Amino acid sequence: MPDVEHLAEPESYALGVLEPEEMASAARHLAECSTCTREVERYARVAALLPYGLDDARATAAKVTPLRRMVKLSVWGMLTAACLAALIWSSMATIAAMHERTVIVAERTIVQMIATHPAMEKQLHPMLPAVANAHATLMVGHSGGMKTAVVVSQLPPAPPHMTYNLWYQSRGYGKPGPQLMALPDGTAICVVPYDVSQRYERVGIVLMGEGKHEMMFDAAL
Amino acid sequence: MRSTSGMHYDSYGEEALLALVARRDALAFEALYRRHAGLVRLLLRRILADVEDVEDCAQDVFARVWQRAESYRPSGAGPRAWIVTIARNAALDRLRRCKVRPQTEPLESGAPVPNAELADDPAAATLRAEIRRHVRAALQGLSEDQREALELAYFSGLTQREIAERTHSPLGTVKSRIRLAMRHLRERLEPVIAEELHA
Repeated sequence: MPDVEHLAEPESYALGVLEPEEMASAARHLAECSTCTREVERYARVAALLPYGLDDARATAAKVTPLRRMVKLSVWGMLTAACLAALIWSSMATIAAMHERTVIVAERTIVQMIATHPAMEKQLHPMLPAVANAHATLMVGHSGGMKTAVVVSQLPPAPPHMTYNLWYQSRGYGKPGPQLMALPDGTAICVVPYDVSQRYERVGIVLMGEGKHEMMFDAAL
Repeated sequence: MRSTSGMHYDSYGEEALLALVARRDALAFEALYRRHAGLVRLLLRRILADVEDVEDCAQDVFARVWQRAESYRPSGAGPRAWIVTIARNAALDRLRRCKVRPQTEPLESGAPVPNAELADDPAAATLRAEIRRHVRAALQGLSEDQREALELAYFSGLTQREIAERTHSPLGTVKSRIRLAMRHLRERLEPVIAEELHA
């Protein structure tokens, strides 16, 4: 017999579906019970994911006209490129040091990746023939266990309005990371301020844009 | 349109962004908006049928985020749940009020007015697509009855008793459906939630 009686319906409280008097009673209990509070918070996180189950085709924000968008992109793109270039060159010494410690964890060609993923081939080929024939090398480096440098060589230029981003995956759930920065020699890099291998099982490169993404390749860490 | 000066916030965690918003950092607010505007609109569109209402309410939601950021406590259910709760409450309030009188509430929050185009952030869109894939897979594991109870609870704002009346089911059955559905989703969505906690 437990000393403390806990909430019988933490999931219903998180959803807000109890009757008003039950909600009030539960709120009083939660003010004094950290165990139930944690349970409710966990279910609140689940509830917050429910809208993702809906079709968002109509929920996309209104887009500007292509011409206006292109003008804006060109202006902001130039400013962005200037800032990124400054950032890249200012941190070149650090990156060069990380290069020395870089360990190659994967060397994959996109063609090979497509061959093992028929569904991806179907999506990727008509859309990105140049990228689909690329041969790129993914390298992941560590610097004192605190940072991760991801370096990709021979990566073709991203198609218009698309970017290459890092991709992390753990237990089947993936998420995009920072955008890769292109260097003049065709190499693209990305530095993450923590050890990626401590958090994720796989790392990869993803091509993103227009609300879509296509996995280029990934590798186990 | 993405402001160049605000781009570095894209790598910030959500807790950090909200802390900056509480200090009235408009660029952090912009970054937070880019991440969540799509989800908020999705939810609002499900609850409110009228498109103008959705846009109006979305502005209202982010005005509240701007106003209430100081009251957010990091130990809670997380920024996404906090924002989604604000959005859901705002939409359900609006729905209830609209049944009584036309909606005429002006927006006077002092919050920066985000550009709707900001919602096009590719990383946010990609992350949304990945989460959606997991959520839909998890939802497919629910029975029709469980899904219906959950939808009436979450998107229509009905209490369990009201759901029981609406579906002509015993109250205990509705409670059971909701409990089992939420437990199933919690189990299936654990990697998504764990990642959110980690970030």
